[in-house]
Amino acid sequence: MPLQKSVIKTLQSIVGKRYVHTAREVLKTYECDGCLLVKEAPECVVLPNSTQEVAAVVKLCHQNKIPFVARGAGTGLSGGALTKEGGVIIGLSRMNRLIEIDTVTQTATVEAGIVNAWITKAVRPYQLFFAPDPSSQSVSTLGGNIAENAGGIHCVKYGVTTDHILGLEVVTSEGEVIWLGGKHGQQPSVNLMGIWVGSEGTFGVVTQAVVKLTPMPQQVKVFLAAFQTLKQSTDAIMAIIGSGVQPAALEFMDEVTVKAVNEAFQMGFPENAEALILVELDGDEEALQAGEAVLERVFQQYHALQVQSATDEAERLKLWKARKSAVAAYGRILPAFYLHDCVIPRSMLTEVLQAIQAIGKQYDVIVGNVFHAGDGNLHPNILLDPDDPAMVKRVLEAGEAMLQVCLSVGGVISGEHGIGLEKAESMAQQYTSEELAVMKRLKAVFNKSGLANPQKIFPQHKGCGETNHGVAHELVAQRAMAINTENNEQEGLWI
Amino acid sequence: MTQYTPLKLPHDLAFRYEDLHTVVIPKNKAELQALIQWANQSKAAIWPWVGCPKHQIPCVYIDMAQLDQAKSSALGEFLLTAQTGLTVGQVNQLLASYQQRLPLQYAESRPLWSVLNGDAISLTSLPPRALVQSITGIESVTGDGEAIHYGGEVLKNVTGYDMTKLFVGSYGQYGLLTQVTLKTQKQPQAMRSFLFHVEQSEDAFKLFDTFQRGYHHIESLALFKTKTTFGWQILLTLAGLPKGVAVESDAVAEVVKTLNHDLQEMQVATSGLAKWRERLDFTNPLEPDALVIKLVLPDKHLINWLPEALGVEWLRAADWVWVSGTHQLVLRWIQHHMPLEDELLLLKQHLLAQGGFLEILRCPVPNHYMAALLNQNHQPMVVEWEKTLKYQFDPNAVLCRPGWESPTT
Repeated sequence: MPLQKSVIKTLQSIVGKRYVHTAREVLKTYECDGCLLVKEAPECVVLPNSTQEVAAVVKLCHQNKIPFVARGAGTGLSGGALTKEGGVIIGLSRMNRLIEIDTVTQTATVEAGIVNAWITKAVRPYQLFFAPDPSSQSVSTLGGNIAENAGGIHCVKYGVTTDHILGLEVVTSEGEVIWLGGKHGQQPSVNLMGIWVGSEGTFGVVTQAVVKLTPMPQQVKVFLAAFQTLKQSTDAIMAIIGSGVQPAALEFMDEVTVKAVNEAFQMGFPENAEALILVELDGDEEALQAGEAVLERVFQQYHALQVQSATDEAERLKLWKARKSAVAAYGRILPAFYLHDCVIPRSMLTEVLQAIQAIGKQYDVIVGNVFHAGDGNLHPNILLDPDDPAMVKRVLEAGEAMLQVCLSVGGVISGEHGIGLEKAESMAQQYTSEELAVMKRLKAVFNKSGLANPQKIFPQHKGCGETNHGVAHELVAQRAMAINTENNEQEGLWI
Repeated sequence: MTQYTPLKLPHDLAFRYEDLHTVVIPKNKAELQALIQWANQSKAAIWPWVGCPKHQIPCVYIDMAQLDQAKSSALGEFLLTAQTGLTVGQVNQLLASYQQRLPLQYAESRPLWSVLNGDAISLTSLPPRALVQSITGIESVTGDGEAIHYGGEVLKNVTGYDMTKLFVGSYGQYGLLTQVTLKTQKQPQAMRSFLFHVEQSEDAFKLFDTFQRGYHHIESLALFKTKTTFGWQILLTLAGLPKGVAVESDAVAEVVKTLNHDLQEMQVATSGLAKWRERLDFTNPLEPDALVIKLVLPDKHLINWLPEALGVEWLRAADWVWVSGTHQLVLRWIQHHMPLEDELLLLKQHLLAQGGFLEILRCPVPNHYMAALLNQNHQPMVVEWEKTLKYQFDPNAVLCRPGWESPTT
């Protein structure tokens, strides 16, 4: 049901006529996020320019019982930034200002709509950077990163988004403006700020943040090693972790991925390599030397077929190219894929990867693994042709089987993409109904009316398998379009 | 001495509630859950046992000492799963056999649950939130007796709300943590500690600021004074790889020589650090008569505020400990020169104006209204959230915070 004209008029009076969109063709832009799963256009999109405007919009929604969803760049991968059954999208793209850089406390105060990478760009002259680096960082906004508690390649050393948020300005689900934390990063009594990070917009709207800035490392060196067998590579990963060396990044690519990037970009990796690992070390000279000595020993011990390393930036980027172009390269094999984001104890890497390969064979599907090995965050990409319904069915069943394997070893169903709509039904597989009820009680504290980003995170008590498959079918079909459009680019989708 | 009264749970739960000195020692989480459920039915208050009975209100003490198991199987990937009745000392002993340690160092006598509650003082130069950042999994029993788990031996987790943030550091108001999985570290290859005695406050602040500005290998940098020490002391520990620690140790010696040749420098044996961790843990529950408050401001602002603070007699009279990197100054008064209530309220206003805050960690008078008043957040909506959280997770307010005021229903 469309919003009442009087509500639209009031919204226009709050943010200006130009920044309230109700035209169908504009609303279509906001019908899904990077997950592309369920398409449902909002009834209205408003683009406020200040916290006060956000608060006024939320207050109006609260008074009129209209659901609202905060949205940044729409790059989320779990279907969190869309309205499910009508409502208003509050787009924060105009609130992209960097308010203050405080080099004394090594903090920056920014608006939620600022693009992640812009923060580092602004503070680099002070030899500082903003550490959370989701692969989408050149586009995704800080508000979205906070909502999803985004990870990234370097979070194995530097931590995920929540570890770098010191303060938050939030608009509550009733439209009140509140500051949680500050430059000291603390709160009396209970860490409300920490609870808000990762709440996927279901508590209210984050409008500003104080972020921690990290001093740039003195030196950086990247190593890329190819291994003949999967087990050699995972043993090498565990040996690096067990040595106590703290890599800045530790990434993995399997045989399917290596072949795909070799074919697509002529990377020249050994054809008989079942796996590649990419390790980045940073720190002072002594730390780098100590780390390098460990890597040399490990690569030798596990019979690496080929080892490359790079210190200068151009060379490093060349090595990173294999990792960053992996997903685009899958397009040469099949036009689409279905992606998971589970995390497992790292000690189970070998067993779980072998199980994933076995599942691939069992269901006759191709699985490419490219993921954050350092923190056990798997990204199995099950490749498919969306026009082949039998294959799609097998892919979905295989994906479900992979999730079960991860859960069976003490893993979790999402490490950095969030739950949103995509994995809401799967939450019941990870948590008991009592545990979900406890989480719902937490939600009720901040979002009594339920108007802030409704229907996300929690199962809606539909037939679990049926819903997941329905959602996933949409997902895989749409991803085919995404990958086709990006096939000619160096980088594919962000994972 | 308080008598321990071992009880067979859960059948004997309707026991001697009137006995102020009853201490229950649950053997496992199920027993703890049963006790909390009984407390809800009986509207009984529960206090974690902190070593001595203090409060003249009817309650049951829980001693978590029997929740003392640890799982070492994930230590190869620097993760330890431990029950919270273990003491820091017991955990350190286990980790030492794997050449590992906890990411933050605390007094060895502290049980894990009390560290996780959030009021233990660490001398590690990391923000207090570094503790919760090192936790990857929790098991907890909420105030209404619901057992929950979140996370585990996984380094990333965005499945639902981050329950570690609710239960770790919230003083046990919403639930009792029974088990945690936390990140451990490799023991540093090199470590050197120095203790400096400085008579004049100006010299002490200058030296402390010099250290906190220019060194990469600082593990611990604490500025403190207590009524048993003369003048000011600075405890500095450098840790890391051998070359870096050696270079910075030499630089420390040079700075000390340049600034004031009368300063004493002495090496502190690693084992000696444990003693300082105990002595400077001002919220140690065995000191029940202390008033302990925490002033929170960014470190870089604190250093400018210190001379001003020294001009105030009641602030000057306190024991002080400030650990660089924590953004907090902890003050303790033990039955001497305690501040008046309006003085604390003024200080609170002063800190709020600068973007900081004040929090009471220990109050010598339980149920004192000042503790609640001073700790009350200045934003009404936050107060509302805190109350609702308490109601949602501990509806009968059976969980009490040791050394602090009793819960409000």
